[in-house]
Amino acid sequence: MTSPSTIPDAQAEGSAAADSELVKRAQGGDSQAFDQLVTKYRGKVYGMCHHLLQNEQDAWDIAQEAFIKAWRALPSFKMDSSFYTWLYRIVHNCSYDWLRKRRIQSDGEFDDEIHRDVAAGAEAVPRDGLRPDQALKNKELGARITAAIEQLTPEHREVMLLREVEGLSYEEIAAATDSQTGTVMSRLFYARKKLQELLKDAYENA
Amino acid sequence: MKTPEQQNEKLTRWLDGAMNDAERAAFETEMADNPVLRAEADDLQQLGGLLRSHVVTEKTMPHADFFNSQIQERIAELHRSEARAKSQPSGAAAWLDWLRKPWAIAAATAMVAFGFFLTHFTEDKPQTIVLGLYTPNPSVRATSYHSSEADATVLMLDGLDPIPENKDITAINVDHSETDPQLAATTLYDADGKILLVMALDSRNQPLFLGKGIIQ
Repeated sequence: MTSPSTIPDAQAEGSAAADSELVKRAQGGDSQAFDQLVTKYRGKVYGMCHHLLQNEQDAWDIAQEAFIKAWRALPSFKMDSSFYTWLYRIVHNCSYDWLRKRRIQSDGEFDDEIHRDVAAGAEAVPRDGLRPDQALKNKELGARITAAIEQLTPEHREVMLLREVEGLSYEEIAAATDSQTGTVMSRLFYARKKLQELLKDAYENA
Repeated sequence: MKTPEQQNEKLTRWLDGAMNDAERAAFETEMADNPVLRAEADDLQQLGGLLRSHVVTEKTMPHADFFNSQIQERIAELHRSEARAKSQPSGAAAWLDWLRKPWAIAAATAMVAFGFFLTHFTEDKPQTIVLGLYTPNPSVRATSYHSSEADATVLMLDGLDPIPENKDITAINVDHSETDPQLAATTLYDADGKILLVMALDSRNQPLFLGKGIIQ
């Protein structure tokens, strides 16, 4: 039986140590150290904002807002979690504030159909050395997966990506999304079932 | 007999590698006796592999350098705001924030010189503090001093070209200001409550000065 997914610990620890040093300097007012943290995490933050908000410009703005809030909140960060987990909680709050405003403006529920015309956040990553026909098949599969993920609610989409792609633990996801671990597990289960339903034929033929 | 919820939770924890060794062994034994459960677990595990190999959360940010520079600029602005809040006894400096926006500097190039004044009251007597002076023409030197005799703050400009005869310099004595954030407009008033100057943005987002100017 294949062993379940795990996080590459050594790599994570090295990254955390480097982050810790930069965070300490930034907490002391060194904006250049913070700039390095921004450079390191802007792609992840922007990508997650894009997955949640489904709009490039909004994702760019919210990512920037999140980093500014992070700078202001840095003195209160006690490094009792990884910097990214702490930062992601701010990203989560900024994104959900934005989603709530959009819901109020549209006077309805979260609408995952909005901005569907914009390029999807999830991307197909063709493996090196694939034949053109394989690469095309891979790209098509990636597009299908992207479309399926977009059909999830923002809450389910978020936990799915944080767990399966980012490799965060239940506790880290719960802390980052301001929820209970039981809620995280429940959301994961239903997100998986939904994706299973939407993608069953795709991965059976993959 | 387990409830579906208990079974779902176990399956989720197994998929995520969140079980200890004993739990995992027990669950895998259970799966060996339950082909339906085993098939479901394999199916979801395959789904996870598919997601990890085809989905990335990291996305190349457009205009990434601009993104960083904007954050640095906003951090610098936060520092300036904090410094102003610490150094100024009143909140009357709000209109100066408006002047510090990038386009305000561009607006200043259209003028000979512009002094940043702030009038506040100490006990019963108004006092003007000059926060800064800017001359777009580097050959012009701006200085200021307070004349007790005239009870006025005097702005000195050395190195100016002769002013045309049809132009005249008038002084403005700002008593207080009001800022409308929605209109992005700041209005300066004199001691009688008359409007001296309204500073705003026009439809092209360019600086707009209305009312009595420095040079008429």
